[in-house]
Amino acid sequence: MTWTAWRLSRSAAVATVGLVSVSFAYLVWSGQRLRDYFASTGLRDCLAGGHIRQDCSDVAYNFFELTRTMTGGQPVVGFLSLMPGLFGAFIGAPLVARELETGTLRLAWTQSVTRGRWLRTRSLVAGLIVVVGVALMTAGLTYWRWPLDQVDGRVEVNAYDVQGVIPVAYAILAFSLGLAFGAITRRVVPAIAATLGVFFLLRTALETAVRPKLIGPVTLSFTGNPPADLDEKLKGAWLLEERIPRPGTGLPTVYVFQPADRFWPLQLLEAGILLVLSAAVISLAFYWTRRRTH
Amino acid sequence: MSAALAATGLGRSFGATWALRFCSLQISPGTVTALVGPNGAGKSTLLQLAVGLLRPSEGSITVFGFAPGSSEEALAQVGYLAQDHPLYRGLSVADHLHMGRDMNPMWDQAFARTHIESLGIPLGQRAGSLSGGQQAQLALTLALATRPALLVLDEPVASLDPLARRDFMTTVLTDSADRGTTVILSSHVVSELERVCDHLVVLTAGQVQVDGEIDALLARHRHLVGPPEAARPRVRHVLSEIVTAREVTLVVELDGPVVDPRWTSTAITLEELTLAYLRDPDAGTRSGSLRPVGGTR
Repeated sequence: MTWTAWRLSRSAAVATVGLVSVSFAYLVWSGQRLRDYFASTGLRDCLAGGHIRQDCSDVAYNFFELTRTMTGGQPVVGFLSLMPGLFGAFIGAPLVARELETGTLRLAWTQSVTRGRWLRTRSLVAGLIVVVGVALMTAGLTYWRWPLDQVDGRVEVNAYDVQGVIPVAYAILAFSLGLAFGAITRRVVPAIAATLGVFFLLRTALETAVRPKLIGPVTLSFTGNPPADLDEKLKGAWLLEERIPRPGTGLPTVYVFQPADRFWPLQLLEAGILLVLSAAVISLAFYWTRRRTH
Repeated sequence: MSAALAATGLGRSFGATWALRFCSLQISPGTVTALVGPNGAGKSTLLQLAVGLLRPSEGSITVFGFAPGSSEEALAQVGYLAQDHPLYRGLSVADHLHMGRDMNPMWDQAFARTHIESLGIPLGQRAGSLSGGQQAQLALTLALATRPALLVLDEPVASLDPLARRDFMTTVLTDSADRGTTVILSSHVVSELERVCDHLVVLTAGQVQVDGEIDALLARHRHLVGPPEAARPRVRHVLSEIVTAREVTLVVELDGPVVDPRWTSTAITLEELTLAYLRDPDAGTRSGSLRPVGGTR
């Protein structure tokens, strides 16, 4: 069954290799220039001296001005950050739906392989392609973002979303949704549409409503002069709320944030949630496929 | 030995409509059975139940004692060729054979290769670019090479030209004769079945109307022609009756010999017999016993 599963996923694998290669070529070329700017503007040395962005604002300004002249840059990377969802949907949704559409399931399901084993093998092979593709893409993006992460840290949304284990976990969720919607709608195009719709809804909900509260955020409040270690604490943090009162009102200044060192705990917790969700959706896909008649 | 296929009170509904209901049927190992009926009679439903693509809504069906599709062992009993003989269009002929080997423990690669080569189908060609006849032959080869005990063919020749039709049926019959494979094939073209099949099942409106050995059915059913004034012979029942001023023509199922010499009895073809039953859905014969199938609804 493994050979068959691989053979039927071969074109998806070829497309993945192509897409990853092109992205890699771009990210390495562009990432190299980003590093050059980072060094040539002096921002790297400034930050290496234990300073934060505010201390290096002049060179930081020069650096960000230069990044704006880059070919591609943030928009391309922004597009690449959608890859987990797209990969999952475009590989997951057709897996069952296309075979239902073309009728080949009647061939596949009357061989000496049960539906459960068929779906298990097919989804493992296709899922592996998604995981490897997105993991490689993540490695490329991580390489590209390195200078930016030195400036702003990795917990803030733009950085956090494309690094660590989150992209792969989101890809697995999109893939599972694709599998389930493919089995339920039995048509490739509606399945992809439903998958993308539900996926980006879930992703937005998790990002805005769940992620900031996954670990209770740190609240820092003071009246008058800021404490000496304020900059240190806020360095690379994900600022959720900032209340700075008008001078003379006597009200406290409040910062609510996720500190920079929570990158991995947050990533692992969110990935855990995503995998549990995926497991539930995959169970639905298996239940539907086994029970389902066509 | 258990029946190749046994159905008891089998029914399958889609939403509120029953595609098949109260279907009871036994098919003996080694037989070649024609499943005949008008479009929408439930033939495909019955066959899909037999191969495990569908689950019964009520009643039960077994194939060599297994619930169809319930395990790899059960699946290995059955070779199935769906109506439109689906293939992976982008995969080559050789890929399909590789796939068959990959998914079937009993796969006979030597047979598959030899057979494909003897048909002159190029192994490297994409399935999507084969002719209709070649596609049907490839799909049939895939089903035969799994070495099934029961071969289920859903309208196998409907889309084929007469030559491809003959080649296809020759392959099926050779396999059945060589290996004792039980074959069930559905068709709404009755004319060619007489040569091919030894059993006939007529399905109308989701129920079994006729079920029997073809030779026995043909021996029992006759054309009777006689003068209008002659007393109607005692028969089990009259399937059709054409009365003109000069003579009466009947299609009947006999109960015994016709004694009145004024009636001339002639043989009936399978096609005539089938059509007579299809025109008269309330008539039914089940292995010799009269059973008004319509009355069980």
